[in-house]
Amino acid sequence: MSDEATPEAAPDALPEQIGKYPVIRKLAEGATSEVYLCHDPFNEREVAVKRIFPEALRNSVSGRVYRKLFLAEASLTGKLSHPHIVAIYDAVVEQESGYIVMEYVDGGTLEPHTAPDNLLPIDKIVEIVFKCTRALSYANQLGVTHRDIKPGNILMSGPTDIKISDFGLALSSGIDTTQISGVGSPAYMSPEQIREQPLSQQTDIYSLGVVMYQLLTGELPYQASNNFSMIYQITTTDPAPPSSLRDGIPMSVDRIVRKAMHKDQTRRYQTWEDFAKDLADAFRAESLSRKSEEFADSEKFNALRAMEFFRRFTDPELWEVVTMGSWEKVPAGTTLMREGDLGDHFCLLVSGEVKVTKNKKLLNVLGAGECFGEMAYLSETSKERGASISANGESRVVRIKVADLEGASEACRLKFDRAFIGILVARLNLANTRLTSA
Amino acid sequence: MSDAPGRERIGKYPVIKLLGSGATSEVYLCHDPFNGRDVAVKVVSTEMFNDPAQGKLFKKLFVNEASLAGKLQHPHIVQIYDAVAEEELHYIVMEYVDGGTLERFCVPESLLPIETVVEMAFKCTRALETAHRMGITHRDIKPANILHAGGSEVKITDFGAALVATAETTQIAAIGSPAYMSPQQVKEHPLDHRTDIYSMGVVMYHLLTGRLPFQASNNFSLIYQITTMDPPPPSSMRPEIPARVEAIVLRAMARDLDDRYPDWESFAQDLADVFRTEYKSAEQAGFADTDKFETLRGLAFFENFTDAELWEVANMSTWRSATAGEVLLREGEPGDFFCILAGGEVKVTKRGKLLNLLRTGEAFGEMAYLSKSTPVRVADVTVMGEAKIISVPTPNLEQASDACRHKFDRAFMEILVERLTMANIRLSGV
Repeated sequence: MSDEATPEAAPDALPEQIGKYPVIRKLAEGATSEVYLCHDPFNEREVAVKRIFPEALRNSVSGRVYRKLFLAEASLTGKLSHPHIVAIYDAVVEQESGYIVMEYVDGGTLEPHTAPDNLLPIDKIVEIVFKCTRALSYANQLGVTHRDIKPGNILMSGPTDIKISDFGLALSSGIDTTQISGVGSPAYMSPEQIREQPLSQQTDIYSLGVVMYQLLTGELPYQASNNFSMIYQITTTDPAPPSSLRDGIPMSVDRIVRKAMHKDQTRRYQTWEDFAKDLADAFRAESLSRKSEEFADSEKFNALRAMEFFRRFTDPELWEVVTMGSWEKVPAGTTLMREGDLGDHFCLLVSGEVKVTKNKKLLNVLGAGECFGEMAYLSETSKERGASISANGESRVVRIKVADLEGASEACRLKFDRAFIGILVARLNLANTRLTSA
Repeated sequence: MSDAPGRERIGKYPVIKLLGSGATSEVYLCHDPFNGRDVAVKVVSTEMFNDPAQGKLFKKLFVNEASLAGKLQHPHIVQIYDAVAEEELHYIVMEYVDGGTLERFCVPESLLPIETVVEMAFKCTRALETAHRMGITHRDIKPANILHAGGSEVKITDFGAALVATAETTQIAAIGSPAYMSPQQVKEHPLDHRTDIYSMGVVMYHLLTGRLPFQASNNFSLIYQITTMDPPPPSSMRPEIPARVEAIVLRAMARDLDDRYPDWESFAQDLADVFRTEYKSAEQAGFADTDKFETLRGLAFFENFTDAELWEVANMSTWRSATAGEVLLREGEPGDFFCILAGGEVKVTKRGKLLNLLRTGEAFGEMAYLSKSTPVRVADVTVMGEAKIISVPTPNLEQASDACRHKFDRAFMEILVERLTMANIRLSGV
């Protein structure tokens, strides 16, 4: 249709517009598609638009079926709303053109960090892979497998913040560009993918294992001069352990990579949760983090995930909490709140013990998972601390500023309030029982 | 690009059928494959876009205005999803409302009951108040721009000056005429929300009587009358129109700005009051949408709810009167709803022992909603005198928007904090 199709331009000329989106500049180009940075005037934001070449649409086994699948997958993937997944805003497919409109991420892919002279620190890699496992777990719960996990599909949006791009078989097959670049290769394919067996989340687990291998060592697990040889190795041989290629890789990390990349699906990680848990454990056990008083995101996430308070929070909501809270490790005796002070935050006790005192009289002792200082948030009228709080032993504490919480998403705030209501109801029941028995 | 009918596609949207067309615009029912929903797409083809000097600016304005109007999220406003201004194609993508416009109720043989007109006008005034608070004036309020979504449900469409300047068609039909324009508008004076108030007055007039306030064979005569004459009172054409309804219409339509309603708030208030006093006798009286909304707005519990959220509550709740002695909740019964007392008094008892007296605005039965573990009533609740009860079924609340559910939780949280404080005081006093 004339009003829709972008003017059929010479390969090097920049199209003025793709669909309704004015083009700012080209971001990347591949064999079957190219990605442009565009502007969305109605929503007033920059977007990345991946345009599929007409040949790719024509060449597909069956154009009609492919176009339908393309739209269905884009629409399904568009329902994924997660801080570590590139959001899909729109997708259009026509006879001769097709494009996907996505969140624009301005940070490059992980690809540069697969070069031996540009490797990331091991702790950062573990963090990044942890975030990937949680994001892919979330996608899997919504029925979406990725099927093309590779460094070129993982975008960087901060020191260890990532966003996974290009979900879905239809979107990735025949389309080889990410927002930045990419080359099609079987290097990240699982043995079952190569054998064209039915696929589950375990195929993505395998591919992420390969990504982790490459990020750690700067080498692909299998070196081959041609695809056939690569395929042979993927299906038959075991890779050298990462620690044989880089100093400082702990045994536990070696084990995780091996388990993720296991050829035998029964011995590979069965679920993303298992994979994620081992990563978080390795992080803690090896004290990979640079300084002990610093908290890694994986550590924060897992600590929160384990707390009863956050039981009903979805992963995206929990990541919001990770980002908005400030974390501290405090020695015994530290005063955390003082009676009479004005409160603008509340705390959650991650580990350790704190005591609640009023006029130096002990009122209560709180353990891990409990919150304190929440009246500053709950009560409209009394912002003054009603008691003092100090650490009994070494404790880990998350502080959440009321103002930050008010800036959080509606969904996240709703979950906080539901959690507080649960606490208030329990306390009220307790008080009523004590009153009636008194 | 050809403007011939039989478009197959507008931008990315496949066309299902043409809904209506006018001199400079056409509205199509289309499908949005990505979002999986039907939408109304209004294609605007005005010469202004082709103006060599202003065309580009005008296109930008068109999208900007639509983008601003798209931020209006209200049950009585048609949602704008997208707007596109390309070389030769300009269109707005909107929520599709399947029910026609109010135009068909503007003829003498198919007039609506007066209370329905008051209800509809009330909903419009509250919606336009929300828009006004966001800095948006409509400037083209007329029956053709108010879609009918069944009963007294309405949705206002075509917000925004730039859109209006180009657009005389709605999702259904079109007439270009100054008939609904305020004196300020025909005089081309600077406009504010009071121009919409005037136009809303004309819409009420038309709906109540089946005729326009001013009859003229040409626009010049119409403009002359709008700026100089008083319309015949609506009751002269439909005698059963109560004096107070007539007074509202005439005040909204006052030529002089000083005599007109200064704001939507006071316009809406008068409509709600007249509803309560004039239509109390009807069986459903007190439980019309107008009254539900006004009642909710008056209760402390709903203090922090926005208009859009209050309408959600009005729609998800059931309302009834109860007489003295009626037992509303019984201890031990399972409970999948909670109540808010909209009027009257109830007592809370446990095995005959009085626990509490509740008054207007207080909630009861909410523990079944708040504590997941015990969805069972822990006390009896009995009506003391004539009472008005709002019941909110918890499954309905679970379906509500996050924002609305959140407001409920905030309100309950405050109640719980208060009760806990009281309990603690009593405990420490013991």
